[in-house]
Amino acid sequence: MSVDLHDRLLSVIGALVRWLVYAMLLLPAIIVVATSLTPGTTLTFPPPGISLRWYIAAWESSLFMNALGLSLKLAALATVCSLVIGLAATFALDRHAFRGRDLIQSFLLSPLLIPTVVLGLGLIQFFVWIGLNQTFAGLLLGHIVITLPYVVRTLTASMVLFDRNLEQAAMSLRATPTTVIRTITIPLLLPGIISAMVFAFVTSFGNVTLSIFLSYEDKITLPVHVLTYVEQNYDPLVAAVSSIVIFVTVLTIFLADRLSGSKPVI
Amino acid sequence: MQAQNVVVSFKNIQKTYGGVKAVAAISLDIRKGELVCLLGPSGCGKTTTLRMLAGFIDPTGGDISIEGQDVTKLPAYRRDIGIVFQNYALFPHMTVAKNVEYGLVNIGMRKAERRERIQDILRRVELQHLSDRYPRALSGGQQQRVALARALALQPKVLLLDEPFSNLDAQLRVRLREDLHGLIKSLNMTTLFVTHDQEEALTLADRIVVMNQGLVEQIGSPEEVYDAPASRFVAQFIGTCALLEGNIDGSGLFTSNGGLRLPTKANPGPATVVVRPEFVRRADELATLQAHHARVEASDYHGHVSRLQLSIGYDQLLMDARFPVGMKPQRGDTIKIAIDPGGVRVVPNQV
Ligand SMILES: Nc1ncnc2c1ncn2[C@@H]1O[C@H](COP(=O)(O)OP(=O)(O)O)[C@@H](O)[C@H]1O
Ligand SMILES: [Mg+2]
Repeated sequence: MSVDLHDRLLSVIGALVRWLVYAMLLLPAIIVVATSLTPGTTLTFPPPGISLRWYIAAWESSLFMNALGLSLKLAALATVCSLVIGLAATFALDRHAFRGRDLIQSFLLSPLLIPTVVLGLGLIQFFVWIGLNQTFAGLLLGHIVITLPYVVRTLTASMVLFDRNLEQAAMSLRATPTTVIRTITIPLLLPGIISAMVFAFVTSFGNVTLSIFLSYEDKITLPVHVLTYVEQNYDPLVAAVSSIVIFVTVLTIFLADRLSGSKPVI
Repeated sequence: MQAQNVVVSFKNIQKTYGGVKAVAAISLDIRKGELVCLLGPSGCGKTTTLRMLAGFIDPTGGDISIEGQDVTKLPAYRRDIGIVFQNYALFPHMTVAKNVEYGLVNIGMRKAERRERIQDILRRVELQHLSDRYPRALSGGQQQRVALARALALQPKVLLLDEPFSNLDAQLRVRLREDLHGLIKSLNMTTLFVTHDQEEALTLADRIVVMNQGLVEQIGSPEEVYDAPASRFVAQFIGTCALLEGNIDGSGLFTSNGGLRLPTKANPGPATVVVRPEFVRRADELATLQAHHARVEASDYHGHVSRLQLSIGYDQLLMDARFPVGMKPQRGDTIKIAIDPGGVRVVPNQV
């Protein structure tokens, strides 16, 4: 009886803690989205009414729209590049035992451990040295460096679970190596590939620290713009822009989840 | 060795992993329609041998040929081999029919013909009603039959099976074993089969290759390896037996180190003798033979027989026998037994 009560109490506390954590995680986003809907001219929560005027303002601000375009393009390119590099690297790491394999693995994951500020500082000096400073290529390269570890990690995890017998079975059924990759390996790794892409895209799209170092002139990403804007202004326009960032992120995850079928991506 | 009808030929095949011999040296010919079984304890190199034939592992030395063609350097997808893996390795993202169709697409077969072939093979393994299911929705036995159908659909020159029953429960195992045997024989399929289960090997195989530590201990029919084991290892691994060490004199009489005498037809010299438990009988059943007094050390009831551990002087024997109800000897009893000389085998003494 008392054990029962104990269990009951613990599960209630557990549920409470869980909801508290969810609330803490979601609350900032909810507040931002709510304030962006205000019809007034100051950031207030809760908003006194509902209007889309600040979204229209954001839409009409070429500054923010250009930055959004740049951020989307950058995130997409960084995703594709780090996926291609990451796939090649994880295949090599997973399938071949060679000298220095552990070293390369740690090297690929190291940007996760280095503070982004340090990374940015290092990259900017490096780019000045090789003449890539203040170029789009430099910005893209920097983003690939920070997205690649996520791709490698996610792909490595799904490759560990991959049954190599399936490829051998396919081979014994007359499939050439390219057919095996096309019909067995890639389809079965697809959930992993998609979640790697989501991680890469979201990481690049939301990054501030590195982009501050590598942005220049008209090539300034959306999060950096939001940050510099907030330093001078405090109007709901920035909330609307931030909400757009949130929508893009959520949409990416949602689409990826749909694409990969029944298996959850994250 | 006659060259005709040989489908698979291993010539002195070896595989070493960093100096460790997984397969030391195997030579073996498999004839058309023959069902050959590699039998041995875990880690003796069976799977490695099978995978070298399939083309998944490069041998360190030796040659493999299929129907006279040297395939040692040929990639797996050009070897014309069907394989059923221990875990079946069904493609999880394809239905049963798609799994079976996979190989047929790869060889460029036309759609109508493919459909016919799939129907035919699924009917043979009694799975046509499940053709639209995904593998995860099938029982272990059904998955095994899909794997078999998938491998057989291409009508390969050789079928390879790696412990195909090890993931099934005992009753199902026996039934599927019979089904598999019937199917393979009705197709006259040349088959190499790997197992560590001697009963499976004895019931299924036309010939058994007994392996131990990467080496072949004996190749022979099930009767040969059981009745005339070529080594102590074979005698102990296949069936149960008692082994007696001793000497054979000029007249063929074996005297064990413990003093037990048994007539043989072997040449004189030090020898090891194998006595299978079913050849140790109650003295009243073999009244013409010399009777021995044996002490019962242990007695296990197995239903159809009781297995007794006996000691005669310093020699240990096993005995399988039936006793009338209430007459079963207990531990410590002394019984009179006789040893059927037809069941006494001399094993060549290895140096
Ligand atoms: N890739 C490998 N690397 C090193 N040793 C291996 C490898 N594969 C198998 N072995 C060793 O070779 C021996 C034979 O293995 P295997 O053919 O799988 O045996 P079986 O199938 O008879 O159980 C074992 O001792 C095993 O540890
Ligand atoms: Mg094995």
